[in-house]
Amino acid sequence: MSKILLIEDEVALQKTLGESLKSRKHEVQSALDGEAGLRLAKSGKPDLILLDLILPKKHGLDVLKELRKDDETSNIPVIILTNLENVGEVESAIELGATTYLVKANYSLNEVIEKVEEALKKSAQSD
Amino acid sequence: MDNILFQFNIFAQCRKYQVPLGQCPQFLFLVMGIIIIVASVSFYAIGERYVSDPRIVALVILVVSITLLVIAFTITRSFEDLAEANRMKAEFVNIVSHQLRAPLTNLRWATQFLSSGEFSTVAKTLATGKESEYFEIIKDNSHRMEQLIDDLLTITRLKEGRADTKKTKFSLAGVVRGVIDEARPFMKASNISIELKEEKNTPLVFSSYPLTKIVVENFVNNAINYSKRGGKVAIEIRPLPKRVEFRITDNGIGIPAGDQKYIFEKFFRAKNADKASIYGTGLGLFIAKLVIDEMKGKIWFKSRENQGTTFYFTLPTS
Repeated sequence: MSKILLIEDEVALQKTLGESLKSRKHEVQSALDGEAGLRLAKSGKPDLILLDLILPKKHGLDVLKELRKDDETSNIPVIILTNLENVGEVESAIELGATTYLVKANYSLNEVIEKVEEALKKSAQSD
Repeated sequence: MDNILFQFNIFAQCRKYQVPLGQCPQFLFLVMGIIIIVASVSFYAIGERYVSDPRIVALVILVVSITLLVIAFTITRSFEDLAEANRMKAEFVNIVSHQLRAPLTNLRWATQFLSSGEFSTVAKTLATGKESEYFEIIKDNSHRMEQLIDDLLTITRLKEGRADTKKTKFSLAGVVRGVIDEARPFMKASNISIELKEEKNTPLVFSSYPLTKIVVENFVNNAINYSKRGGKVAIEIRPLPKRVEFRITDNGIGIPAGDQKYIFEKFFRAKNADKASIYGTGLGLFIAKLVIDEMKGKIWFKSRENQGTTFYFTLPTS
């Protein structure tokens, strides 16, 4: 069982993705905005973070920047989950060390969960 | 063949770009070409006739050079305008695709989860009636997509002059009453009351009925959405010289001072609206301003964060 933090402002997605992950025996914490997400990342030490980009209070890329700056959160794998297909933002996210960049509309719920489990496995192997 | 002919039809090309002739690069190039040919022939003729007085030739060359410079500058500017329009269009497509993809993803994932084996596990362990929460997600997000498409169509029709802008005389209070009746289920769900006051002897307005109804719907829906539970909304309609004023006051979340100057911009959403997770396309007020400007009225607002907002608009009576 892994601890996953979901930073996403769409309540509906928090619900479907959150419950789907819970049914796979993961522990899920959720935040609706960038600032709350950052706080939970620092206090909860999740094994993986699913991060949206367009977030109230703090943009996803700024959240990622701050996560990478802090020694305690700098190694947490981060999957960017967005509906923006902006080449500049993809590059910035990868440069900042995002594990992968998924455009939500292009993936099914199951495919996203597979990507999450793949990233968790990789991260466990490298530890 | 048609394509080749189209390349020579400058007027058709300018119509395609939807820019006036004075800002259309092809047309300006044509004007510049004609001026250069006329100027060359004139130089020849003038040179032959006034060769004894070179000052006249120099003056003509100077005037023609300045004219060409002005046209060249206008052409450069029109290219810049076209490039800017192109950039804005790309940005618009990017925002719209994002706005449409969000509810689409919600719909897809909710239905995928409902039909998955995991859902039956979750439904068994959690309270009954779990399906209804997902059906609610599906209903809300279908409505969200419908609203966005309706708003985009209204904007396109208005911009292209295809909207029903035919003006007739009608009672503004009558439109408001109809809109309030349609909004009753939402008012009841949020426990919000709306009071309508119309001053005696308020004349009929002279405007497009369907477009005015869209504006009133936007204001009434906003007042309901941005009010706190149990909130009160007041609508007042009063006569002014040659105009009728509509005002709608709510005691909702208000608009932060820093956001107020952007409130009528396309896709703008105030920070506190996002924070409160109130859904909106960011197009309602943009449409309202577009319509009221088109109807030769005025639109403005006063707002204080956490205290509420009053929106005003006026429409002419003739």
